Amino acid sequence: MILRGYRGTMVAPSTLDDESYLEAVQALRGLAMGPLSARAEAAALAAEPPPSRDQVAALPAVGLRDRLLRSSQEMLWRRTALTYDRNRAGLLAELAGDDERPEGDDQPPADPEPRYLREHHLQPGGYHGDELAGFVYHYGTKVFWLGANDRDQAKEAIVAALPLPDGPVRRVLELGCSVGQSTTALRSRFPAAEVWGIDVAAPMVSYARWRAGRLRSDVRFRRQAAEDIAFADQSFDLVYASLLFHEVPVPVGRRIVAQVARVLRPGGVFIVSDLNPLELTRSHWSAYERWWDTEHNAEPYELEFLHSDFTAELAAWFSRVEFAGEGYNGRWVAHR
Amino acid sequence: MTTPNAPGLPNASTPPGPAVPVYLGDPVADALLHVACELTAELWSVKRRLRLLEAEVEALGGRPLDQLPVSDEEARLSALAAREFVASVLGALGDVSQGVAPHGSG
Repeated sequence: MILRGYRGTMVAPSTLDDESYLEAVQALRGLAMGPLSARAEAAALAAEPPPSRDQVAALPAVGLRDRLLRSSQEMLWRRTALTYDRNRAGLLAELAGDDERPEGDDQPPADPEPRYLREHHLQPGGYHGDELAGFVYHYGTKVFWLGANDRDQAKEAIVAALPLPDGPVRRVLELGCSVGQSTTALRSRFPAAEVWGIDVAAPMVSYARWRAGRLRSDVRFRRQAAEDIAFADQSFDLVYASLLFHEVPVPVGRRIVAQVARVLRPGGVFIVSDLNPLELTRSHWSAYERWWDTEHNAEPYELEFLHSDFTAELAAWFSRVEFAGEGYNGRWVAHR
Repeated sequence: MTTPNAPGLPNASTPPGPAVPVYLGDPVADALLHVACELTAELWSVKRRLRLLEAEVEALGGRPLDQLPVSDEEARLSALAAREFVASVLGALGDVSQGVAPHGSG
């Protein structure tokens, strides 16, 4: 049972107070990410000689930005988790009603709860620790993205710009699909293709199925670890991973790349959208931001990923790798 | 109460400019106290108005507020209003990094 209808493609918060609170948190986050970040960056870049990380953190403008960012992050996840918990029975009934979908066939990972899973981004229970994590993650990211993806429009724009492989696109796989926003966008982009999404976290997969059903998108989901893909060799034309690799330790990422090389057909393409490693060297402020995200926004593997040579990891398995970075965002296109 | 020559702050010889007075040693804490004052007043005005409104709705046989439908467009406009509200309440924080001066310096 849904209490207050939908907001964009999400379930609306369970009470008006919760929705209003989260509106205010979104505005707080906008303030922190907008003018306060700009002033913090200006203060950090104006300091001479270039300050150390501790010295940047000690600047009043930076401390102020950091406090508001941390507060807004804690507030958004706690209240989002609370608002769906108020309707726990109703939402679980929604998910249970979706059990008859044919594309089940989950393959729980060998380690039922991979040790690398954490409470990413400060979300209570992370991706995996609460049956309602999909509802929570979806609305939490709405606040995180400042409302810019309420109808999946940001994800659809990214998917619409993905390059094509040589030859036809008959089968598409998304790794670490979470709530399935890019998966349904891939289906819209390739309406004749069979589109799959896999994720290691059971709550994400059950929510992704439920959500895609509500949107009448003919996509298929399986619970599966990206480092242990249970699909046949050379069975996909395009594999996509959005913001996955910075969420796993580098050795796990290495195994994922090898698996993708196995399931992608010759001429197929592997496209990775993730954080831009060039941000580590653009300025001491951009490097500070990446460190802060790792240490204070529960992104435990972010710096590890950014310091790894991900382009070289791909080049070990693919014939040609192209990289483009702009701001926070990096994109790798690896040709099989 | 003044905090002359607080660490990291300009001293009294700094020419007057667009600086804001600071009463606590830490300009961020100073601004945050101002924010708390703003929020207290705003919160009370909303609570008072809401109490009156809900009593009026109930007297007229209206639905509980949590059951009122909210369209996506209404939610979008409300989010914009929230942004303006937060900016007005927390605006003092933005002044912190624009330069600060001890109270009474200008």
